[in-house]
Amino acid sequence: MNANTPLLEINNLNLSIHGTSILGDVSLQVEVGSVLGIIGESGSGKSMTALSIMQLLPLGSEVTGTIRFNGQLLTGMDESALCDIRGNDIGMVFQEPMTALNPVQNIGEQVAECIALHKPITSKQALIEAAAVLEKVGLPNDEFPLSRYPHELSGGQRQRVVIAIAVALEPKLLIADEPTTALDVTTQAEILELLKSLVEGSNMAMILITHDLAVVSEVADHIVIMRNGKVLDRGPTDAVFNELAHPYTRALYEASSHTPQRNTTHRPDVPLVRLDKLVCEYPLPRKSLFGARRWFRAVSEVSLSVYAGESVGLVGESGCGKSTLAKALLGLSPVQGGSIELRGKPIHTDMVLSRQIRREMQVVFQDPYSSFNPRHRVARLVSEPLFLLDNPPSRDERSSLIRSTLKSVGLSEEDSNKYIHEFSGGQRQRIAIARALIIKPALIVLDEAVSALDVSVRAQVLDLLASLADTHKLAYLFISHDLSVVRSITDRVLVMKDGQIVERRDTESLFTKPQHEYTKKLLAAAPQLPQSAALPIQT
Amino acid sequence: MLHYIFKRTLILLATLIVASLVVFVSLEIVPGDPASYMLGLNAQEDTIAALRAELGLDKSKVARYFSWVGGLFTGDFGTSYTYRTPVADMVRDRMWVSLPLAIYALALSTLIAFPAGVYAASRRGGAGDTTVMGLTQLGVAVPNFWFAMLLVLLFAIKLRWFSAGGFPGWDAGFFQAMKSLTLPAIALALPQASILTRVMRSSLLDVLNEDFMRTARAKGLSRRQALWKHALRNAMIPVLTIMGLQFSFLLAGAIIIENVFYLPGLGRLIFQSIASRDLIVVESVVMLLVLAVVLVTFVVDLAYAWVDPRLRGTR
Amino acid sequence: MKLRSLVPGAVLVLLFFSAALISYVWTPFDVTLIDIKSRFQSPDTTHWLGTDHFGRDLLSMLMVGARTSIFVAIVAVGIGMLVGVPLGLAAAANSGNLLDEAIMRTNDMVFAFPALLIAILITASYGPGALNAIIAIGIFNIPVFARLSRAAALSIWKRDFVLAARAAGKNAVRISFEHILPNITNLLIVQGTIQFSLGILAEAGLSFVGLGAQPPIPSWGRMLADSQTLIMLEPQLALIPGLAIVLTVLGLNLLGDGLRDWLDPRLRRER
Repeated sequence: MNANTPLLEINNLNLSIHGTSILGDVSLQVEVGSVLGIIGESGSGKSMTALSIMQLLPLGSEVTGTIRFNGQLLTGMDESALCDIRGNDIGMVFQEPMTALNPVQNIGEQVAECIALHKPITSKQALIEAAAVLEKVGLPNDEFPLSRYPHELSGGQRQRVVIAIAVALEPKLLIADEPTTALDVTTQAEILELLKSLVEGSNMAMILITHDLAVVSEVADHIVIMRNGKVLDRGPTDAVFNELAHPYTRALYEASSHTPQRNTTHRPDVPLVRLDKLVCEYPLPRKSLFGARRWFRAVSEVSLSVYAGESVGLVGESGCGKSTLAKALLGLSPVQGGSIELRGKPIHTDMVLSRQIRREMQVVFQDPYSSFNPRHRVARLVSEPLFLLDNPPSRDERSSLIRSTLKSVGLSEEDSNKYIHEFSGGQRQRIAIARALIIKPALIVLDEAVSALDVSVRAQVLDLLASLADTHKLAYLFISHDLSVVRSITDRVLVMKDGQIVERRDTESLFTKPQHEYTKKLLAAAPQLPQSAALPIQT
Repeated sequence: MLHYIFKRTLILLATLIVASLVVFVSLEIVPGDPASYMLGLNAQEDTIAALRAELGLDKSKVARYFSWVGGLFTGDFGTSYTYRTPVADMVRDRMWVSLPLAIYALALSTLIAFPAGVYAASRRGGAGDTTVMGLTQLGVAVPNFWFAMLLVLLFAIKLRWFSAGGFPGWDAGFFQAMKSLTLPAIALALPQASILTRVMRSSLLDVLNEDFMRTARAKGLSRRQALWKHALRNAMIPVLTIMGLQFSFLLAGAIIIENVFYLPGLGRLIFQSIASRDLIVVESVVMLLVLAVVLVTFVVDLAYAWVDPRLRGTR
Repeated sequence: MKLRSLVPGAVLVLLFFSAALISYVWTPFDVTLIDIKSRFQSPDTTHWLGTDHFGRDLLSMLMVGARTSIFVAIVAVGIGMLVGVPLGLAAAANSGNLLDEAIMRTNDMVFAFPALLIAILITASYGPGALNAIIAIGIFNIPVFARLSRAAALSIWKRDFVLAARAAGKNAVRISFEHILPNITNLLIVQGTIQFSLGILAEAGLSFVGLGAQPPIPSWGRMLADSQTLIMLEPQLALIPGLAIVLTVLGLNLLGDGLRDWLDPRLRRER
């Protein structure tokens, strides 16, 4: 192997699992010390490609094609030789940091195990080396002793441990499969920085798999775009984004930078919803035997207003209290202090909201897979809020209402008889919007409603939301951790941290001239989509 | 961790107190007048009165309860009505038959089930797995006392490897005593081992699907290494629950099976006492059995915290 | 292993259920009739399974015994479900509250009393009988179903569609019926068959030691107890009732496994 041979070469890789084709004729290369980004939406086969390199495919997999690494042929290699390579020459980081670590072993043992597996050293020596690696990934030993257990660490910290395991033996190749998707914006920035420094520090090559174009543009030298198990576009990062040669690449780029058309509304004088010094607290589990019960303040004296017809964004990282705030507003979570007013009239603060009040506010949740009762048909699911009406509609009125609501979200009448498992994620969110819309509320709370959707589907749903707001004069409270989405669909933004609103401005001013330190930090951490000569976007 | 132990101890004590109330109420309050109940329909008035005085039934219910519980603490379980001997003596000898039998059966069942469950899980879907599943499916359907009878028929009567029943006592030597407990223990262990094998297998299969197993393989561990070093300990957690529950079933089973093997354990004592309406004996033996079950549950709860650091609380 | 267990299981269960039901209207011979002349006969055309030590026809005894076992087990499971499931649902709906703690602690306490001990307590006060067996096994089934329902319900309460129902103004009771219960029904059906089979084993054990149905009502457990002393000479008296128990329990377990696999994949398709 000479200096010009790629470190990793995949040629004509075909994968099928139990007869279903997953990957079709995939070819790609990674040079020594370079970063390759693999982009794709769900179902594109990007994770399977990574698992194929590691030869960790599930049972029933059939593979043809070749994978050559460091001069050796990985496909067809026997298992014990592969075990020598895994963890040693190739390291892998997975998507879900919360479940990636063995819950009953401490972090020192888990890192040391990888080291001791490939190096002929004593376990004591392995622990010392493990400590050094943990320091390197940003978990200093004095704060994070080796005896810590995974459940005592946050998501970002756990991901650092996983990275420590992957890079402990200075592998030639690091495969990172959506390593930051489950993390906060600021944590994501930190982890990406860490990965970049590790790559540069030891001339390690990296494959970064993600669905986020902005993330990949900041890290990768080359990118490969996949869809439905096939490679559609490839090239150096700058060139690909600049030219947007392939229609799918172009579509992805457009969707990522999509801003729906919205009409500006005239703001009425009286707010629709007003929160005044709202306080929400949770009791914490008792740590000591007889100590006083401690409380965690999730929402700390928050005051805000939402006017009819406007779209307000609420951004913050996980744990800042935004979801608690939303639930308190909807009467789904107890309130310990302050007040909530709807059209000037106070709402009871003990979760017993009257039906009139509930009628005015509805909600769309994040996870399209748990938002619906799997045993009910769509008609029943969508019409659940009709329970709030004093005069429930007759059967005919009901069906026509269901029909028209489904139509307004882009679905058809036949869909009302189906079960929810027959629909995709994007379609389910449409059904969720239909459910929120059916009693014609004044306000819809969207709690991370598009966060779980693929980028192209997300753009369509945002368009739908924008047009519905115009047609029905809806107000939105748009909760998200994704700043670019918030920017595209809101009039005003509130930034939340540790239970408090730290900045509130109209959207454009917030993004162009942020004032609070935390806002600046958030905006700096958010990855930016590069400008493209083929499709200029406004900043 | 301390908080956890404290809470479990409180629950242990509370359960014992409630159990004692239940036992007391069922046996001393419910029959109405225990004395006339014990003596039967044809008893004379003055005999009943004498017995009532002897049993202290002239005192109030509350006082009787406390004197009974107090007695339990000091080891005075009362005097058997039928045999006129202290219940404590009768119970002590027999306890040393029933409890070792239950523990022997638990040990056998664990020794069979763990390897079988691991084997079946590691050969999932294959011939080995199907065989184990088939055998355990039969094993759980077999009543342990019937299996005991079959064992006696085969091993004691036809083959003469074991005696058909009886217990020579621990004085006759550890090995001899254990030999006479072996057939009963096997009979008890069979259905429990079958259940435990299935639980072990399914728990292991669940764990093998978890994300951290993928991380383990990515480190370079082989399938086998990953199973032993990572999967097993996590799979133990639900298995421990079942083992704790099993002890109570084993104890109940031991009591029934003593009939088949003519073992002088708590089982025969309790059934004879029911037949002869000796409530004093029944009370104490039931309480003792409940105590054994509750203690084992407590130990299992502590074992949880040892196996699963998440239960020890965060620092 | 999947659907292959559903059919044999169902067949076995149907066989014994039918035998039990038919015995209400007809048995080959009268089980209360003692006919010493005909005792210990081997299976032949008159007595398909032979006779016992009292000359009673074994097949008839089995059929009526089936009735006893099944009846006791069904009612016991019924008690367990009818009391246990609402308790479990209530505990889950009030998770963390005093009610939840109270129900769970009570559960733990009942678990401290194996069904046998409860039967002993009842029998010591009221005397033996099938009713005692039903109550004892039934009481023990209650915490089993309560614990199962609570655990299953808790995981469903966390799901967003329950939040959506609350946003639609529905209260905990309504949600428990409309949303929670339909989603745990499959689990309950499967557990119900398992508890049923355990109930049959428990009833046999209680009858074996004389705490279950009393003579002259036949029960499989007592048939085994009676055969104990004769096992050397007439082993079939022990083998036949024992096999009946094994086959019934096996059938129920196979049915339960088959039901679990048959019901689950339908729901799994949602992902």
